[in-house]
Amino acid sequence: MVDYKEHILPNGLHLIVHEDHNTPLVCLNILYKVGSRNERPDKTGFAHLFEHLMFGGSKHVKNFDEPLQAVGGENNAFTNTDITNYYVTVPAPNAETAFWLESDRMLSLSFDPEVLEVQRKVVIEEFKQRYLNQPYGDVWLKLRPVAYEKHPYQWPTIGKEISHIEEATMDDVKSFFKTHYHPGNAVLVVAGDITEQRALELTEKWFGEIPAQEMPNGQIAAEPDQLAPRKLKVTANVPADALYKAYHMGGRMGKAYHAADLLSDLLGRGKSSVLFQELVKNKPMFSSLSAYVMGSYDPGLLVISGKLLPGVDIEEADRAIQALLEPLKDQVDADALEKVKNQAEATTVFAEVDLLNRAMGLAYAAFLGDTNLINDELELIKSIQTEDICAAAKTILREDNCTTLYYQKNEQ
Amino acid sequence: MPDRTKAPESSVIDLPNLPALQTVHLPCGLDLHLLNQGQQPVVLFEMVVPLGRWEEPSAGLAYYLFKMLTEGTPTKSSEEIASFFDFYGSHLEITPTLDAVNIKLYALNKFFPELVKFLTDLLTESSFPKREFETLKQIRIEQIRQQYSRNNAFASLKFRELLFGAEHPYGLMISEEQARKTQRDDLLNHKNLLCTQPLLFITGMVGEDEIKAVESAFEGFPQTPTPSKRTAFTNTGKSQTITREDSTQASLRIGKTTINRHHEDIHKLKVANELLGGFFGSRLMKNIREEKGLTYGIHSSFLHLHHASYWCIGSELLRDKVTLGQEEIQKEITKLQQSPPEQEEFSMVINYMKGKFLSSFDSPFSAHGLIKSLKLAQLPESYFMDFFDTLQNIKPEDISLMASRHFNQDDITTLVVV
Repeated sequence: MVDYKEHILPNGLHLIVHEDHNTPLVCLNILYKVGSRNERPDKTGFAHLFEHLMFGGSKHVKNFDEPLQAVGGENNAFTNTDITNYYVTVPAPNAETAFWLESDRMLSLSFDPEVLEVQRKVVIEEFKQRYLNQPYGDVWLKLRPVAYEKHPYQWPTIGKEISHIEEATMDDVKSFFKTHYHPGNAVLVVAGDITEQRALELTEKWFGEIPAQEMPNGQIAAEPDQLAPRKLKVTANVPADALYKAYHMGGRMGKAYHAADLLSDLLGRGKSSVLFQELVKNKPMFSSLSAYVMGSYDPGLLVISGKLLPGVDIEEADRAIQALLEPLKDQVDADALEKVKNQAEATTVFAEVDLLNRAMGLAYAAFLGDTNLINDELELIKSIQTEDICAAAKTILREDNCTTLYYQKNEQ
Repeated sequence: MPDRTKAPESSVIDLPNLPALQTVHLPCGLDLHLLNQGQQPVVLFEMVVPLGRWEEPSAGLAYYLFKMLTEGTPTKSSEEIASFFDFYGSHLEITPTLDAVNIKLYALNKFFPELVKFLTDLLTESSFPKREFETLKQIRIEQIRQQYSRNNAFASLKFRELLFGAEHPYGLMISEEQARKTQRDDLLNHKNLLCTQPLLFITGMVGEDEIKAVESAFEGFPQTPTPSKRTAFTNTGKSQTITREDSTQASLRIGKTTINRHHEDIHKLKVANELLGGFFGSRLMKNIREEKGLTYGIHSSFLHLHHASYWCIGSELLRDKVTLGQEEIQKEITKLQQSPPEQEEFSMVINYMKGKFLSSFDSPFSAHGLIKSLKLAQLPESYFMDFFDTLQNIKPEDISLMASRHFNQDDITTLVVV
């Protein structure tokens, strides 16, 4: 159970305060409702590049990190398909420094051309390090554009190709900032050893004067239903053949999402899961095999992925997986469902141990549209019945609804 | 309107109340180290079994011995064991390391007693079923192949081989061949090593019930004495460049063996290293990432193993800029040795480290790791206080002194995998 209070400032900023006086720290977590799903197809990777630029100095502060480190603070950020999330942890007496820094970069960036040049290079190295210079690193670069034909989820957060990063201009940066970085498009969570009153005062003092902007109204293209199986094959210098199956499922809200999530747990979470038991243990075809959902805001993917043992035929392995999916459409074992519900409960409780996680969880629930989801989702998960799982399996686990990738090693 | 041109007032960061470590002597003779911290009904229970590369009868044996723990007993199949842990939403992590095998059990309090009892039963009853062993072995060989194919993972292991020598317990890189050689009989012959006297730790919402649960799980636990450790000589190799196909980046590792945590310089040296390359605002990060854009990241760190410590700077760099990267690293080290940092940079790194110190004890699970490392290295409980004291009292001149003393270049080892 996470307690919190909410306020909306006149400029539209959504403030959530979570008091915890057992910690000597305060966290500020700011979520901007922008991710790669808000990008244009010819300027991909921008939300993430922009995250880097947010550390390159704001209107009145030339360096974000140094004044924060000087008062004992730490910070970082991440970008995904849906959101860009910034967080700061600071010793409680120095919380105001975090308000100063975060509010100044929401007010305006410095738009220094040199910062853009350097961060462009850093992001290109990140692209190489994480997506190109390791085996299987480019899986999602290959798979997304086949699984999604219309929706911006067809490119990964890092971007479609390096050239988009190379070609970003300062005008692009400015217009992106204006569209997405303003109070009405953000959720601020203040958590830790601070009172609601003090958090509100500091928020009004530092964020109150930032002008409201028009809300972004870019329509995001809906993904049409998939009607036939999609397949692709890739060969590369990798140590083992790998198989990926990505099935379309619904969006992040509601019971159907959690039914799909529990279904993926039954299939491939942990060593007692169906796929692991059958195809890693009983009839070994894979060295690893798991299933999970992407958890994206718009309709997402349920993914089954595994690495094959040497000498196993990849088509045979694919058929073996498909055969194991069928029985779940008619019947799900009640004990197995209780097991995955217990796992979900443990995940929820463990996620509440760290202050920063609680702050992020609150911001994300607010982004989804209902802050109290942080406390309500577990009940929703517990209410799911075996019939719901079978229904999810019938709807989702069909070859017609699936993109299959064979990622095979080069012939020697 | 707030004045945005200058930073708000700030306060000095005080020493936090460190969580109180308690030690309970269990009737079975083992000690249980506990931290009662956190508001959520969860615990992390950990057994540290001192069976690493120095103690195991043959290289890589401890890995199989302990990974087979969940694969079967005379009365329970592998699937039943996995289902048991999963059913209670718990998470069992078995991590064989160079110095020990760590067994971590994450559990909701309400299910902890059943789970810990189940775990000790596995340690005494494990039967290493043949088929499961063959599967595990196949997976292990695959993992080794995959690990060695990733430039950065390979570079980190290869660097240790260069530092300690290929025959040294810390330098040895387990080959596919070695992984294949181990037989089920080897496990059966050394079954009793599963019960090698462990060190026990528990963190989270820990009360009487949890202590009792551990107590009764370890009642009558047969304790095998720790096997004696082998002798080994460090045989540092030359610097090396390894060329591989298809690299889009180069992995660089630079470092050498260094002082352990009992040495009087240890805290000051940590500050010097932090400033050089230990955090996001470090000189290496500023120069090589933020100014030159040669890399996504560069880090300088210490690895304190039980029988040796080493210092390593690591980075994945632009493929054709490795030489420039190396020169810049060298320049930064020399600069640090020749002149003490300016007051502004110096106090920034000190305050940053104080804040980090606060947050590292804030989460029960990260406090767990710190306390565990303290006990394993047999450091005094004042160790963390001493560290904080150092942060209060260190002078800029100490930084250059530490850099001159411990970062000198004569016996440095460099590895480039490109």
